[in-house]
Amino acid sequence: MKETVKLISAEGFEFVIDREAAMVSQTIRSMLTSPGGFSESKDGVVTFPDISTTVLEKICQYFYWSLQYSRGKETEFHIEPELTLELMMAANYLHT
Amino acid sequence: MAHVPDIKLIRTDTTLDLSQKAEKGMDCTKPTLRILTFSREVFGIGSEGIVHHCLAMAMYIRVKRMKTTYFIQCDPTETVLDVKQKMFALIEQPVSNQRLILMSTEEVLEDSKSLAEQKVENDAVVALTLRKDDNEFEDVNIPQPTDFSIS
Repeated sequence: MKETVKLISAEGFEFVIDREAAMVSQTIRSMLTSPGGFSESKDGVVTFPDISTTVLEKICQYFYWSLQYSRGKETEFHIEPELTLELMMAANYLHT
Repeated sequence: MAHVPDIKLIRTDTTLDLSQKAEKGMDCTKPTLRILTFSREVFGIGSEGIVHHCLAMAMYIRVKRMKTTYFIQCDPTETVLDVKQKMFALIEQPVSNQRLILMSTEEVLEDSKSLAEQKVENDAVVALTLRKDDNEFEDVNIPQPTDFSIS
């Protein structure tokens, strides 16, 4: 099984992240692990036509921040105010 | 985005609580065992391999070229060459054909130096350029998404 997964934004920008980071999201976790259900579980590529590049990058940064946090490194996660609404909608969808 | 709860504190208390009960002769052996196994798996207690893995996750950098961003886990003590080897695993471009440039200072990173020495910090953006056919390196190419949001 591949160690990395690729997330693709609305504008077609690609983010290659570690599988363990992507698994922070319950939605992506089930896409990647469900047997035979999603084609995503085979290829490790997930497309998000509704998530803009800026927001998707912020989400990936959050995944890594979350991993670091769970390992005891407590830093702040900065969110630009103008991103907040879009980010919350994406977070709701991703169960993050 | 929800805050990750501090599981560690809860875990310690619960484990202690249950082992105390076990000492008093109460039948709590199984839950205690399960929680201990859980904490060993999740937090690397009693396993040096996992502890080492935690240290390696000290930071990440964002390596960008064209429309792709690679999130690379690394440690400040690792050299730029180490990072290029990780990139090799992803893009199958030999180390000698890669050039990494720290975007905040626009400095070309040297293979032999560590990330810390060259002020590459957590969450840093690093541009990747590849060697072209004429043996020169291409220019930095990181496009920005034009629209803030497509709806």
